[in-house]
Amino acid sequence: MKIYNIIKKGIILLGILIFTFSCDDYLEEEAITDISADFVYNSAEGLETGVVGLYNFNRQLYENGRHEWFSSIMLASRTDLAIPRAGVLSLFGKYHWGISQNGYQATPLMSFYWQHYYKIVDRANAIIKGAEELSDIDEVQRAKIIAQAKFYRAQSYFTLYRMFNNIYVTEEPSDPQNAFDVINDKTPVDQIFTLINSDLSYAIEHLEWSTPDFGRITQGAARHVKAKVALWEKDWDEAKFQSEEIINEGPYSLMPNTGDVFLGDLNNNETILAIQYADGLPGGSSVSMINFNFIPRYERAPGMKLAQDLGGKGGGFLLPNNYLLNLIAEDENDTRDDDTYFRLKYYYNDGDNLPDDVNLGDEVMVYAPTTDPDNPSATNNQYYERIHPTCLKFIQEDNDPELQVQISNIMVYRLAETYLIAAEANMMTGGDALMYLNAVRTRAGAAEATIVDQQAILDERARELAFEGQRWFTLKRMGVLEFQIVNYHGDDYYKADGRTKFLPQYVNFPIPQSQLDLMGPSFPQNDGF
Amino acid sequence: MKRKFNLKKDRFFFSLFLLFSVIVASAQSQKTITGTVLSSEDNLPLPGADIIEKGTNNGTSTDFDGNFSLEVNENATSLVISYIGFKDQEVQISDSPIQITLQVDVNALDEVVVVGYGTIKKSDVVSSVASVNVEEAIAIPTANINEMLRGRAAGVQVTTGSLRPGGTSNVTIRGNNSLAGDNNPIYVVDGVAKDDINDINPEDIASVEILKDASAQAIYGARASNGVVLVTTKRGKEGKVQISYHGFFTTQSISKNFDLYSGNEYADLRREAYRTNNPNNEYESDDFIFTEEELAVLGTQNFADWEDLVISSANISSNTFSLSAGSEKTKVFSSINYFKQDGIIPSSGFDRGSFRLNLDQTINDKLSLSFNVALTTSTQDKESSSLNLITLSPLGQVYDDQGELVRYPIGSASYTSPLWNIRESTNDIKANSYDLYFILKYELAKNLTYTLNTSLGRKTTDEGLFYSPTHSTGRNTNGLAKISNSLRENYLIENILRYDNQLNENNKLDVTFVQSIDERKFSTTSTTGTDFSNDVLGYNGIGSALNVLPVGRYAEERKLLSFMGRVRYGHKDKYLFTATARADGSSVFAAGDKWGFFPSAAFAWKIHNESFLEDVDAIDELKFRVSYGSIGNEAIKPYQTLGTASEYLYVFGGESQSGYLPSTVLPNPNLKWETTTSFNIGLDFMVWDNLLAGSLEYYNNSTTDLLVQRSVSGITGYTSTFTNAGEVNNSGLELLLTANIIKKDDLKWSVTATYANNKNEIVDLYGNDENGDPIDDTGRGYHVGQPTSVIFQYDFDGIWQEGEDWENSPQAAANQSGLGAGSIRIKDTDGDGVITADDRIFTNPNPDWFGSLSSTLSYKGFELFVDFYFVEGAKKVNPYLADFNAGGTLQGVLNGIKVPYYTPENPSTSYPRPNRESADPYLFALAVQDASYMRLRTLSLAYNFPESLMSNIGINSVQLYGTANNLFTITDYKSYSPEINNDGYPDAKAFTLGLKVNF
Repeated sequence: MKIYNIIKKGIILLGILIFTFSCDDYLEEEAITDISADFVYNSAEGLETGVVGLYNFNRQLYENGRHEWFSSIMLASRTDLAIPRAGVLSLFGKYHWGISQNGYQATPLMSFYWQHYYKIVDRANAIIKGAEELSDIDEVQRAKIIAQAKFYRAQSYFTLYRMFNNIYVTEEPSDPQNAFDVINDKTPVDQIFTLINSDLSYAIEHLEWSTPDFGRITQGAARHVKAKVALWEKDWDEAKFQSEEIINEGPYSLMPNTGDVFLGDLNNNETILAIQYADGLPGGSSVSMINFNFIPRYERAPGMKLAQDLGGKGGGFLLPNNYLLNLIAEDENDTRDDDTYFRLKYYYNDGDNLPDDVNLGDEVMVYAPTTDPDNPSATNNQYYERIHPTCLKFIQEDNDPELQVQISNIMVYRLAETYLIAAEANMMTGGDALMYLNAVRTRAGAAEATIVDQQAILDERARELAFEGQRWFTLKRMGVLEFQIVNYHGDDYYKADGRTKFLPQYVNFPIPQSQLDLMGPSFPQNDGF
Repeated sequence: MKRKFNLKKDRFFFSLFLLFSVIVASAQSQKTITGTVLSSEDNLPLPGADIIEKGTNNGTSTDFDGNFSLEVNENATSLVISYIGFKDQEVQISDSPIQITLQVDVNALDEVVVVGYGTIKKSDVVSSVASVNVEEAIAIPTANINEMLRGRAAGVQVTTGSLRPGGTSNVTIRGNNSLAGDNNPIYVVDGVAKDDINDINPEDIASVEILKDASAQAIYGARASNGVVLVTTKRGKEGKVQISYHGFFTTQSISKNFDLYSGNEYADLRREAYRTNNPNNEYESDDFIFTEEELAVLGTQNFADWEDLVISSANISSNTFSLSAGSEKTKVFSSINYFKQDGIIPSSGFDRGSFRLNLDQTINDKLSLSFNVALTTSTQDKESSSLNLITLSPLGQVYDDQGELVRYPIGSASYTSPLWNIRESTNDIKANSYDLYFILKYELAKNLTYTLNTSLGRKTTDEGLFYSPTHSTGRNTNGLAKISNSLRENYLIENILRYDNQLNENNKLDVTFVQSIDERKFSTTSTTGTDFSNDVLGYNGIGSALNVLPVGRYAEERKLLSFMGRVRYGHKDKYLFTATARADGSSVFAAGDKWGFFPSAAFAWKIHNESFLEDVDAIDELKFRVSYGSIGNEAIKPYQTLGTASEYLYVFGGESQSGYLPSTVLPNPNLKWETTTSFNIGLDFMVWDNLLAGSLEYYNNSTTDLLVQRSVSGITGYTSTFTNAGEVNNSGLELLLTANIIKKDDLKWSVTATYANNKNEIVDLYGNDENGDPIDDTGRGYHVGQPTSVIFQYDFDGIWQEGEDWENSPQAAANQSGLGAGSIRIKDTDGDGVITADDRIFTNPNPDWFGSLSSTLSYKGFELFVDFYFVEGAKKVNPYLADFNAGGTLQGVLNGIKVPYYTPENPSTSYPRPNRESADPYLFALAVQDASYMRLRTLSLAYNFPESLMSNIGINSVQLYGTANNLFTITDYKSYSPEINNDGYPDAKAFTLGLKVNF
């Protein structure tokens, strides 16, 4: 009985212990290995990592493997300079896909753009708000954090507006309370631009011209985007001011030769902003695949083999068209098609497998394009697939030629575009446009122009900046997208579907229906969709 | 004990009765019969067995040594011997002493069922509990215990997870309740929840019960809302020492129901694909469409059959020794097992060694202790990833002229030979686990017991992965080695008080109170190295990697604190009541929402014990059951309410910098319990002396406050957030039927059928929009009024044929490019004249019903077991008929499942025309296929050698058996297995030879 009593007491004691030791303390949760969002937004150290995260988010445009890695060049495939030859990319390029809010196969990519830029916006919003409210932080550090976040917010809203037109703009970070707010209307255009301009002005004011971290946003990048925004708003004075500030005050200069512009890691004097990679480094070794889309399948021609100096392995999905090549060819001294920006010809490089009657180094001429529709070339398809001229701007020189993917920096903004912005702004304000236009032409070895008009600006931009991501926006801004597509898209007898498929509403992208459904039934779709 | 007491009472009256009979009959002429009655169980004498002269009231009973002596009429021919718990037996009278061995009478109603915190007689079960026939279940040669449950209980749906050796299957009990949480049941092994059931040696399992309604699940509450699989391992019994051996050997070979294109067929497919794109509808020259390497193979006609080259037959073996022994106070069960399975893809395999010791020790009248120790060690070898054996072109050269393996069979570096990749990769996962249980029982007072139930489990894994620099994955980084270690821990402490009392003749009360603490932790560390100058050491040479990436580390823990009370009350053995209430606190929910309260109640009526049925001989059992109650689900990951950031690093000018941001899921700090409320009604019956027995059940489960990952608008910068919303309903009918058609001593035949259907529906999601229409979550595939995993695709309507007016079709109105004869035709289901996303239709992927039919026939020493499994009305999307990477797009780029595609000369009505440049946009509509099937899962023949033969050499019993698994499958679904697409590990047929010996 004694033992029985002891055990009884013991159990009662145990019961009391269990109840008194607080249940809620026991069940409290604390993440063991994860950084909390609270740390990111509410400490100086955390905000710095948040800003780095924005660079990573922004780079995801180039790494979207789900859409066959062409998210960053989809717009290029829809310009007047492109032949969308094959692959899913060509379906977008030929205006078969990406033309409807319900396009079953294309909607994921449209949603990707929509979500990609808004994702940057939201995290930038949260970083800006966190930095503004944080008390324990050095003022210079605070301003630099906010400046970079505001640059990304402005750039993202600018891109969203140019692609999707009807957009909603907010400076509030999302939380579970506001995430399901019904959004009934788009934000008025002037409000969008007020925010973009004020963000960029802040960034210009608080960022230095140069940074030890190559690839960081600088004052130059902010001014460059502000100049582009000004062009869009037809604020020619502002565009002139910003572009000339960069040219005259910034630490930039045009590379002496066009062949140097895209060499190596792009960390040169002409580059204003480049997406950064570094093989083998944490945060640097994710892959992209832009180059693969451009380089033709030359190795399929007998007597040819893969070689890195030819661009390595490619699918030849997106090719420069005759309209562009002819523009460069107008001046025979123009170096931009001398294996610098573009390659025109291929020469036998596989000594072990040469066809009869040719020598190593002879030009490959076994295929020919159709030039007369009544008399089609039997080797037209082979010509375009294998030895058509190509864009060389994205080659990774030290890659394995058999690899489809690459790990190398990607050009975003460079001084040559600033010169052409300055040329356009001066043309519209009666300044010396030719000086800026000819700086670009002279560098490329082309003769100086003597007159300048919108077409001259457009053509020079084509020669200099083709496939760098700006063309579609430029055409839209100048109001010539439809004209240029209908007249020049594809080649005359090859993949010119866009010329007939293009409809006026395609100056905007349709907002994916799935996104409209999530916002609220009355958010306006763009006209024509 | 009670039974024996009654028996004695009966015997007293019976003896009195006999006394009278003897007196009455003494006038006639008599003879004396003597004999002994033994038990068949242990061959020991049975004292108190009744012996009656047949057709009279004359009889006697056996003495303490089982002997009897009876005076009978001279004309008497036979005696009837009876004893409670044994079958009656009739014997011929002879002049010499008779030895009678009585056979044990296994009455199905007296079987004991484990229901959690105790066992009860099957006839007293109030809630929905299904018992699995363990013998039949373990007739599958696998280490995958979930797979063993397939077809063994109604309403338990098993679908293949991974067929790789060491892989597992998914168990769904009564449909999917949860959207974001997982839908797996919990496994409770000897009272302790376990994450990985496959650590257990199937031979150690004594019983498996499946708890299906809230009343039954309430015992295990949190995490039990998807059902509970209760596994009880064997324990020692009082009696003599028994040593058993079970070994088997299995060969497996591939099972499939589709063909790939042969070399020439594949070449034709590509020619057709190019021809479609040719403006003049002409074939392109072979020189244009094939590489030099492919042309060479076409010339020699020496094609590569990759499937045949890679897959080969493989063996399984298993050996188990077990020991069971016990004295009055100490009982021991112990076993040791080694299981080894080679995969049908070389370099894959699984082996497992396990040891178990279950010890029960009675200290005194009040105190007893139990210990369980289970140790498992296993190695899983995984084959190389990216084995494109279905999609790789047959126009490849496997070996070169010197007989060396060719790395790039078709010349292109995009396609590495699967044999090469197998050779150039290693992936081993070594796991060690132990589980320690300590159970203390103390009788506090009469009928009041305290139990302390504790357990500690740990599992460590050590995974090594290596891709050499020439492997197709390793090439990107010049070799890759990854080593990861992980540790899983779980702790359980339960304090259980139980009061169990037969209050009086008519009333029985049983009260249980449980308090428990359950903690589970997981942590993992991994290191990755790239850039290898040599590959001789495999992943063990990670130290020689020229580039080592930062160490990865992740850790989580979750805690659960519960209080449970259960009251069971029985009245007159006719009316049974159970009421359960529990409160669970889980660490994974938001502060303030951590606790949930879940009550349930059940009632059963044993109708056969009512006076109006007591005299109906045909009915052995008729029991009606009803239950209602709720259970919580905490099946979300830890830290969902905290808001964590993920790593997003970047490099500036070649230098890494640390970056963190919240990922694409918006953190929600307000998550709470998801609750499943279930209603269950059932009828158990047994008629005509167990000729037919079974149960019929209907259930209706409603899950509310669903933990759901809800899509949010892109403008928030997120894609989704976890939230509590909506309601999912599952309802269905389950039938279990066993017919014991022949029950003779020498010949027995029984047939068991299970049938289950389940209707799964999202009843509500996020409320209604401004127009009163329910808000769907199209992005996540959730649609109100549809099943949780509905297929939402266009409606395939055949193939456009030459002469038909596709130019004015709704597809042409939607600007479909390349539309023409040979394109897939889609129904304009909304009739608006143009194909839009609104024309997609819902297809329910879940089966209309599923079930099994098994038969056991035994004749003398032979036993024949046949088991069929049925799934009817299931639908699946087969990517191998639609996806580019699965070779389903008919572009002639990759090989794939052979289909009768369209050509102008042979216009198909079921598959479109090949197209090199762009696949038909509606292939996924075509890929919605019927995945119904019927499979002969098991065909087994066993022979038990006669006891007489064996006892001479000191062996109790010997059984030799041969089993065939997956012998045939009838299905239209083109895949290695109708439950898994070909991107998974291929399914296999298996033939087994096994031996069981009891010493």
